[in-house]
Amino acid sequence: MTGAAGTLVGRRRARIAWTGPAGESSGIFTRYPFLIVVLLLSAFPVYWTFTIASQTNEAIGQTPPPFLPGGNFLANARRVFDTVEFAKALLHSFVVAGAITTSTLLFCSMAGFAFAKLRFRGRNALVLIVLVTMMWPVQLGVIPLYIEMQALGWAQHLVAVIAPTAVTGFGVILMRQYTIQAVPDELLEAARMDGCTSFGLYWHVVVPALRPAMAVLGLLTFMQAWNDFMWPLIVLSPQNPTVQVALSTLAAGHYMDYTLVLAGTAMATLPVLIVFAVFGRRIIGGIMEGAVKG
Amino acid sequence: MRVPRWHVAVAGWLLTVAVVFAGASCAKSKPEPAPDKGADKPVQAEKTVAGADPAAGKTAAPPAEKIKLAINDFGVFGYKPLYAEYQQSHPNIEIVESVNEYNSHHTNLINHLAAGSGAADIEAVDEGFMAQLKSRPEQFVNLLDYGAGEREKDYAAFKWQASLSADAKKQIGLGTDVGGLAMCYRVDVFAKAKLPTDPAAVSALWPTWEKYVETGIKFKAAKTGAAFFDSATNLYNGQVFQLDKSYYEPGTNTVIVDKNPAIKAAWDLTMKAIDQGLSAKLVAWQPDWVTAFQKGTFATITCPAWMQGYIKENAPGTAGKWNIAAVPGAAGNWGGSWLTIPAQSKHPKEAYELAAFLTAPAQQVRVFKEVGNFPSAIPAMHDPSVEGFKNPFFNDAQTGKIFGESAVNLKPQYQGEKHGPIRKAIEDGITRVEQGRQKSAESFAQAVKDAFRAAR
Amino acid sequence: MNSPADFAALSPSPLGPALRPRLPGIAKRALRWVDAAIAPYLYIAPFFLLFIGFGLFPILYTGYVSLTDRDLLRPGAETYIGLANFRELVGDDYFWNSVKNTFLLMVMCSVPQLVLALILAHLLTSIRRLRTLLRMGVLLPNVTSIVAVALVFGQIYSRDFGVVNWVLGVLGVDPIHWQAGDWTSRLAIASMVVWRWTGYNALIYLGAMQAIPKEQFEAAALDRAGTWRQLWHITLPALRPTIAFTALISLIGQMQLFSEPLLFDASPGSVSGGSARQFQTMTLFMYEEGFRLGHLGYGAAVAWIVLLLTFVVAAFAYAMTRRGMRAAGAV
Repeated sequence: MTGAAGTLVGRRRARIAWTGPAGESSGIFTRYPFLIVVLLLSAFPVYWTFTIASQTNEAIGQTPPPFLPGGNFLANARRVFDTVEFAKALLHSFVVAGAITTSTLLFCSMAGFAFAKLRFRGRNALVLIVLVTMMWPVQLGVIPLYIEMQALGWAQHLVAVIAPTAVTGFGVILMRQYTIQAVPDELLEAARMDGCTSFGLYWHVVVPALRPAMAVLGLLTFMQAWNDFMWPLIVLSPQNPTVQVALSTLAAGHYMDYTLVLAGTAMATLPVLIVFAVFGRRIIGGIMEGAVKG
Repeated sequence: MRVPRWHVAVAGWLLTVAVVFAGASCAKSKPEPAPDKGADKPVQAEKTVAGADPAAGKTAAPPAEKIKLAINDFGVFGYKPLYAEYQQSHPNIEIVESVNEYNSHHTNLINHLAAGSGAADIEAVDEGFMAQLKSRPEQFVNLLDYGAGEREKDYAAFKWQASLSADAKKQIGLGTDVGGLAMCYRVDVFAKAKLPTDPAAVSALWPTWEKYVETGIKFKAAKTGAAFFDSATNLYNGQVFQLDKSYYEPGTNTVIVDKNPAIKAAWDLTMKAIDQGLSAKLVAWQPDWVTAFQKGTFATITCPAWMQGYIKENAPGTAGKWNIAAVPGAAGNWGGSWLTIPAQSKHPKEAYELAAFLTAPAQQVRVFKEVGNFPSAIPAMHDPSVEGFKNPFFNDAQTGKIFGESAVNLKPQYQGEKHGPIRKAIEDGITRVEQGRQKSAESFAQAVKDAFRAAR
Repeated sequence: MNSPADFAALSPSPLGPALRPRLPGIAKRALRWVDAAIAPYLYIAPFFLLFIGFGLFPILYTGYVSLTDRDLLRPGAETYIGLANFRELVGDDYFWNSVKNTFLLMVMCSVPQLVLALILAHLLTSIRRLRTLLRMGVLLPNVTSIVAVALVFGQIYSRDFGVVNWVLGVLGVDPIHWQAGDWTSRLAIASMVVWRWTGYNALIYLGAMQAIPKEQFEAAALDRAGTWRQLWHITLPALRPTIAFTALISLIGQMQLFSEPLLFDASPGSVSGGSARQFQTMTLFMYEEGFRLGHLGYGAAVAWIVLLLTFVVAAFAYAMTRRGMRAAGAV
């Protein structure tokens, strides 16, 4: 109710700007190196993707393989565009991932808010059901889902890829969790006293408070939707590919043409990285600076 | 004044919804046909002609209905120029191809067959999946109904029979290419081991698989530092390919893997080779295996026609170091595909005509010249450009002749519906022994158990 | 939102708070009643509608199929066989092997993942330089495509030329065939999973940590408490509910582990989890039976058992954390 165990989250939203030499200097020689190593390990495969994408097939067959980028990226990229309609696939992926992210953020935060702060009959049972929906292994589900899409006439259209994952149980639970912790009841009480309907509560109190969690959920959802492969492959047509399906076409060959596939992969990852770079500051800043400042 | 947050949210949502529907409706618009610049003109001509002569064999409506044929395949079939030509001569046909990676393609096909919809008009099927699919012939059009019977004489016997249903009444595929089987060997490593290096002499070293293993033992004694072959499973499969019957009693669903002495013999010979240390214990397609080509870690490898390109692409530095000899028994096949027509297709007749065109001997020769896929039609194999083909990378080996002979020599072998999983069960058994996890007797017993389990 | 006054300032009325029209009493009470009684259901409706539309049908269909002997490629030809599939499953050694593997991997993946994520989140909170770069950097594994992951880890764990074996060689250890062994393969897979998901969890913790008042950390710093003490005494207690949450989510995800074992197998496209099924998880087993062997009815039964087992495990974990949190006075 009052948020994190043992601490009273007051009405002031606290900042975790860590200042003070005492806090910073202790362990500075282990903290940064450790984090830098983590960063290098995290980034290596992506870096590797770009490195291979810029080499020739012969070069990467050597041992040890080259660790620095070569000069072949444009040639490989041109091959990618010659082989598949990559720009179209990118656009489709953007539409799909964007739509899924938007609907996830909207509907999951709404449901999370309702589960966390509103009282209604059957609330606990319904939360349980949400949890249970996450426990289902999806791999065999492609067949009935495809049958359904065919029946609806949605096969080969982007809607078929958007609708099944437009909201996730994980998103609902995450939003509920965060709302419980980060939105104090007093605030809601005060807003109610001022004549706010529940929707007003949602828009004006909860959503601003949820911004950090929504940022994280949005990022994760976007990436998950972007990387989804199995379902788009079965339900979309070759004229309507998403980027991962296009990559599969690149991988078609008697043998894996790694420079070609990874050039495609690199270009598929690039938009996400750009979103990262552009909005990263804002998102992470938002997470750390707290919520609304008026 | 700041724009209220909810304005922004609603606008964003509406925008997304709008884009989604725009995207969805874009999808409904005309899909891109296979590259063909002349497509428009023949349609126009067709309209005029049809208008001028309604009795020209088309239906009553003035313009001939354009039929869209979807064809799904994988890898490199090399059909693009053929599509262009076909669309020129068949103006009412529009061909849309979708190419996917090998596993994705087949997974997709199987999913669509299981769901009852979504398969293309023509689906390419590889050898690895044919046994499973032909055991469900009701999922496919019987090509004999459309006149495929006349093609039987074109094909190597094993190729024609491999896509035939168990009762031999339904033919579900027209063969495209074959792998054939030969033995690729490293000339330099053989020289180091004081073995002959001329292909004819090397072929003479191993008329049987037993002699192949004996050669390997001699090779090992020469201590060149290289292993004799890459992986024991290839040795095993090479033998099993040549058997009259392997895992199933022909024409039935009875699994005989435990009763077939030939299988046990193949297993035992493989075990002997492993015991003698002839195997490099690699697994095909793994990074280690690829590097091994460059480094000469193994001296021989059973290679089908399509592996030539692979070796060239991944180990270009070894040009001239390889040559190709016959495989023991001079017969075998690894790989190769067919074009099938799923029963779901709305245009089976047109699909058949296209498939027949693409797999006709003349076209198979053209594909061979373009992308190197080895023909499965005997007339194509005898075409001078195929038969006389020499691969410079492989020291001018007479690959056209060698692979063609191996395919023609191969006796047809009945493959029951779970042939693939049974084969995998045995291969896993061999791998377990190679990896030192189990001893031969134990591993074979388990492999047999797994085989029956797969077939249940 | 700092105070009711701030909130009032955001009131949607363009006329300003003072002039916002008030509804007559009865209408207001009616609206309030509707709001309290109906609105919650409207908020959760989108999720449930979408789930009923696209989530429920596959589940029910699979349930139906699990009671039949449905062959993958013979739709419509199945016959009802009741619980025979489930009975067979109970006696199936390979199924229990996959259960064992799943649980082993679950422990090997979840524990390091969450511990590392907590440490990471704590450290990422405390740094001043390179903030955004490091915080975004930990999410890169989730951005990396499957192709790249398979390629890189395949090479790293390659027996003859892989990086790990090279390092081991420098240390005087014989090269390990990672895919061949029982524990070596599980270790390698665990490393792939930990690599992929630690950053994800770290970000969730980061988000939750912003609720901790900075005064606590400043006070601790003044008391000369080092990073680790602060982690143990401030961050950990404050994040208990979040940790319980991520543990639950991670558990549920681990029960369904599929991609990493699939990618790690030496033979491409093999779903047997190694030559001796040493790392075949339940979902891989389900996929093998349902898709590769064509026993869709049997595979469907596995799917339902996975669901049941996950529920049992999650319920157990939840009960344990509830007890733990109650003991700590958190709930």
